[in-house]
Amino acid sequence: MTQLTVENLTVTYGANTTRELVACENIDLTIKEGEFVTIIGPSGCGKSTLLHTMGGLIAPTKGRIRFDGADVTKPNPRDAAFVFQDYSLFPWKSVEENAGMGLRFAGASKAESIREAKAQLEFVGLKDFGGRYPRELSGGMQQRVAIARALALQPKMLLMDEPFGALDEQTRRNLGTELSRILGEAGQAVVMITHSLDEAIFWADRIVVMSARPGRIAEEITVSAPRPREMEFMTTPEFQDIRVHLFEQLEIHQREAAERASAATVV
Amino acid sequence: MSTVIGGAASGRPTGAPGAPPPKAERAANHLEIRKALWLRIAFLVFVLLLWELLANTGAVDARFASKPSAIVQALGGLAVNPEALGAVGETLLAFATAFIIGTSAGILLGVAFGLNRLLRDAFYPIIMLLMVVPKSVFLPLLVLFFGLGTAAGVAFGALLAFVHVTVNVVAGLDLVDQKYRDVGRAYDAKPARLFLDVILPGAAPGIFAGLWHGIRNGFIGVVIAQLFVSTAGVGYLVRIYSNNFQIDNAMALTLVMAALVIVTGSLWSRLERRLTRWRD
Repeated sequence: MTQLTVENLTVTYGANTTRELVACENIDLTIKEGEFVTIIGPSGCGKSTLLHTMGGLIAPTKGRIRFDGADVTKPNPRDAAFVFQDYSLFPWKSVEENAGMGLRFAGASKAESIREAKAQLEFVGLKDFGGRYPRELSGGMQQRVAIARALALQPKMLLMDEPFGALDEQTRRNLGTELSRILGEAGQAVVMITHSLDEAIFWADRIVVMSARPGRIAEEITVSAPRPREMEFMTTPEFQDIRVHLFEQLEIHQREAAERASAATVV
Repeated sequence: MSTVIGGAASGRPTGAPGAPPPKAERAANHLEIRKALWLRIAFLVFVLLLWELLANTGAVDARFASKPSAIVQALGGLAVNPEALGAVGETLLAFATAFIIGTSAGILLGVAFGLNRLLRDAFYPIIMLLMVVPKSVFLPLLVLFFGLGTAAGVAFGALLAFVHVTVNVVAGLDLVDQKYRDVGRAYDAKPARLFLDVILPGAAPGIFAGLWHGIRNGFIGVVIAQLFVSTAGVGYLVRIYSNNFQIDNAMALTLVMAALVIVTGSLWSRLERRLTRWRD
């Protein structure tokens, strides 16, 4: 069943000024319950803008966002909870407090948020780290805390903005397979932005490819292999075929972006 | 006088600190700090001995410059002198009052400026102007308003503390990373929650720096006012002793005040470290 719909969305920064910038344009997209959608595209194509608009952090310039049929006008973390690229844990709060902070912000009592935080930390495999401070944890562990913070609200959807962008390759893979289990069990719909072809394919039921600015949806690719997937999926022909195709598409969009940029500087 | 106080304070970094060094590096640092400490002590002992020697041989006139042994003696005398003890009490009380008034006003205003764009655009320039103007120009006015007693010193100390605290608190609130505010927004945090859990702890380094400036400037203000205009407190007594060529007493009293500021400073940094454990 359809959960989130993006209808004819355009987001313009600095509208009606000389520095007007169309971040994304005429976007139509639907996310179904429990579906895992990855968004990939050249830098500056408006992926993050799209995600932030879907979660109510940015208001549409044109078009509308609907979650379960209702207009999204501001963030509602119990519908769609964010996981940011830089983890954004509060260094002055313990891991446990951080994991409960989403609930706390959403109005839960201290006791309730800590109880739920403990459960979620156990779920993401950080049971023994609740009393530590974020700086004592590796990047991968910090990102798991951020995911626990989002899951604690038991949201219907997770919006992840390049959640593994700041991690090294090895950590990404390990965390990736682990999260694929965790998110599989949690059962949320996930929309995830990524720069990595492998990630985009490995995770997705559906891959959304965006063109260079102003960002439009260039293509949607369905990945039919069932989830959760094991590492071996990366060696299958389906994975390889999609990877080659995606690589070529992104090359084209990237080149377009570069040409447009150099044309702009000539003018 | 004020150079002694300034020296004590500038030995301690205020403002936001960088990342803490790893453990091995810290141990090496510790050894370096130890060496530096011994070098410093050796230098001070050398200066004191030289001073004593020059005074005893008559190369320096002990009537104007005093000498270490005489100052130590004077310290003993002051310790049982009710006039001096009373003056120390007066100064400490004046400082505490000035600190509380100036700092709480500064924190309130600094937070208001940090949270409200309009208030800040309207009134922050006035504070910045006060920051630039040498505040001693207000001393004669304050004497007119508050008279020659303790009140003028309190007012001047409070004014100095207020200006410095406000500026530091505003800077502290500005330093709260936008990404933390974004998390609050993404999780639909109410303004009060956001303030208590994100903005206040995020601004803690700036607020602590502000409080330290409150202590320092509150003290400077009180002492300067007492030195030059008031007829109360340690500053006044130092002035009297100097005018009467009781240089031993004046020096001893100066030493007491410097020690007070240094002790306050180190107590303060200990408290700060305890309250911001998450940083190291």
